[in-house]
Amino acid sequence: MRTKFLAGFLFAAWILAALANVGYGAEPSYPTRQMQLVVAGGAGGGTDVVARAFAQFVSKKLGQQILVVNKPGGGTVVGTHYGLKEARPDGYSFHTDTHACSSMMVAGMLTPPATLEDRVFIARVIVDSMVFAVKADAPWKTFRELTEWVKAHPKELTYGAGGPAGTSAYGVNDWLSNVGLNPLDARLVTTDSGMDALVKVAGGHTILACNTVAEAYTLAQAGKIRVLAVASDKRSPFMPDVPTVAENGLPPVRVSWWAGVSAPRGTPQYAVDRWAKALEEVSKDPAFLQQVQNLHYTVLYLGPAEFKDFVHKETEHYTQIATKVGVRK
Amino acid sequence: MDAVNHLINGFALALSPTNLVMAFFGVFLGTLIGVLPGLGVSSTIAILIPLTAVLSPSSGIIIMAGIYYGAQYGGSTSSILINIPGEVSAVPTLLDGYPLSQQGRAGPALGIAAIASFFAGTTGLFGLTFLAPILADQALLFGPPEYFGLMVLALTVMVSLSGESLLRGLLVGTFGYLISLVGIGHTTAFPRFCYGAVALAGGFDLISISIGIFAVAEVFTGIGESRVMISAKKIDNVFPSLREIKQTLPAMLRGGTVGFLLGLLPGCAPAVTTFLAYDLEKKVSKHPERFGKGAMEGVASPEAANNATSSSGFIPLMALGIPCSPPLAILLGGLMIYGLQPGPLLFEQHPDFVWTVIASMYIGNVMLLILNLPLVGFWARLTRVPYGVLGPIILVISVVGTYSLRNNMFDVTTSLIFGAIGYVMRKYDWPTVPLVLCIILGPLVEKSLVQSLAMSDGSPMIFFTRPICLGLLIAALLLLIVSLRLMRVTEEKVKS
Repeated sequence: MRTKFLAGFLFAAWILAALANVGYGAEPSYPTRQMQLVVAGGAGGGTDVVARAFAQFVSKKLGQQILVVNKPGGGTVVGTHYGLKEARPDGYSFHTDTHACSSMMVAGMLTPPATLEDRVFIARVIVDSMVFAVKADAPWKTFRELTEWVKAHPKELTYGAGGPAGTSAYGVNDWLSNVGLNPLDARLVTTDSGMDALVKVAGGHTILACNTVAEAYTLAQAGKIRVLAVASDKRSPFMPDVPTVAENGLPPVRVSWWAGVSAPRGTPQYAVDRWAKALEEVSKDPAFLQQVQNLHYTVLYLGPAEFKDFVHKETEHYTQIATKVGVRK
Repeated sequence: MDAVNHLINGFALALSPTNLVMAFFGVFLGTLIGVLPGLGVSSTIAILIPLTAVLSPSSGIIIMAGIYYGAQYGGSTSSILINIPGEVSAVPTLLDGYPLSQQGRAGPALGIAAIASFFAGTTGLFGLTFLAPILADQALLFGPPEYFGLMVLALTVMVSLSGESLLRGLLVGTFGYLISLVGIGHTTAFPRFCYGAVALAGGFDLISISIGIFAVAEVFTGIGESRVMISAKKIDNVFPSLREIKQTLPAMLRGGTVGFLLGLLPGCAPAVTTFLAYDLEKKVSKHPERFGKGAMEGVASPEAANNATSSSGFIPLMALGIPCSPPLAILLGGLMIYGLQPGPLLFEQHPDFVWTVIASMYIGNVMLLILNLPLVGFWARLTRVPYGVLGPIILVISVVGTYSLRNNMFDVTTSLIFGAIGYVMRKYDWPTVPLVLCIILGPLVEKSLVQSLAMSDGSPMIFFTRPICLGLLIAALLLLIVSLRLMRVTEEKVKS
């Protein structure tokens, strides 16, 4: 009798507690436990270093540990699938979003592991511009000269890129089709990483590399490569002497490197809001800015709505290039 | 002798109590990671990067570097004792290390491994100290055709690792190459043999296969023959004798040289280096038939190669900012977070920092020797633990290790399946090493071949017009002939 009464009492208390929870609104206290931030790449890659900086600084703002989970493999396919499709949308799992897991992937693959609709965009935080670089003692002093040479010898250009649907390939494709050349005439030498592509240029094995400022900075400083142009509206603060593509009198190349945070579709709004706010604060934090600057990246924050808009526009642009070159498959 | 003065200054700073503690912490952690399979050097260094927020640049980098070269020391322990290769580069070590353990000579084998590591690691550091600027530029000379030549050269190792039947070795190798094809193709970025499965798109992880084929299969074999303990013989001596050290010294020197030179090349997998060193040792040996059955040189040479590689990898890293392996890429990230830009200017602008780190690596190598030698006795006793207890522990370590590779159950399943495959292969006397070798080399050969042909617009002449590449291909041909001859000689020796 007594146990029954006790059970009934507990049940009532449980119902009341549940009701109370509903009564106090849809926003439970958040976050109450450790969160994970997925990286679609191995430890130590460019995205990983950035993700660890996000984790370190956001964790301070939200007061919970953030575990960086590396899921390398298959370019970014395995990690993107894990971070956006397999992870639970409970507000405790986030994905380090980049062009390579979103716009570029959707443009390059007919059946991407995750579409743009499979995610909630939270914020873009870091950007980097692409640069065009040749060997230090190459005959071309300006990007214009190189362009003229390629026009005269369209089949002789060799360049390194991670694959036919990666940042470097898009950059070269955009440039060549802008000046009226067929990008497929150029010889693509696939490389392991941006650094690998630059090392091949420094050693004189390939002619051109199209990589980020951060990747090219070291070898440029060491005097092994010559950076001809930067593919952005303005010159890079890290390479103030390098003119933009437009300054060379050529149509601008619109390809960039960026990193931000997204979450799987269905993640509660309060979690998205908290992260967006935290990332916005982080992108003004002097310590964070210093760390990013040391890596030669630039902080440029976009909130959820602008971020979504940005990626959708970029996807359209890349889809155009990919369709034209025929790498969409 | 500018370098000597700088190095003396570096020692003065590296010997400060803080830096000594940091170096010890680094090498200790590194040893631990090396001993435990799966837990990678890369992830450990990456996890520690936030430490950079509190530590000074030299302290932070001293720890990270310590983990990196410390892990190379520890890596041999699990290979020799329980046949678990923590890293793929440790596979050649287990070929003779584990048989030595079974003969009750785990102690001397571990001792030789530690001494070889110390010897080659330190010699490599001399190279880093005095030759860094000259050698760094040489690394750039290696383009895709040269790598292709090197990989063809490495493929000739197949012959000497095939055991008694070359045909079986080649068949197993082909099987390995087919396995390496699974995943997103390197050159086309197009999925191959994935059947729509995302897990397969990531390909098979080499370490999970190695752990399966060596460690798991060994446990299965142990269960099959109801083994009592790893070493049936009583352990006579724990430390290697002076004679053994003297005998293996040339092997250390040769292995170290191979490791040092190949370590300069970015993208040359450490596993390729250790396999080549092992093969070289077998070729120059007067008793090649002893290899694979417990030859001390077979432990000394790859271990020396391993550690020489870890020293020489710092040359392109510091002089040009080119990381030769994933852990060094993370170390590079660590340097950059501190605002230290690698390259020629690093030596000019931050000499204190550079030379403190280099000096600390000399100190760290001594610490590792002191740390590892006393442990030898303790480890050696593991081989006398009842197999009913040790076997399950090896399985647990294997499962945890493979899981931690990519935080993925797929890799665990892979290692168990390959454990079964390995068990059957051993039972029917099929060689297992060519399988691992071809999984390593397959993608590298393919990549460098396709890259070279892309450079030349499809003309194979590119391999014959570049002197380094041509030289490597000729060397490969010569090695092939030598290997085939050696195989016949060994066969006759075994028969008689």
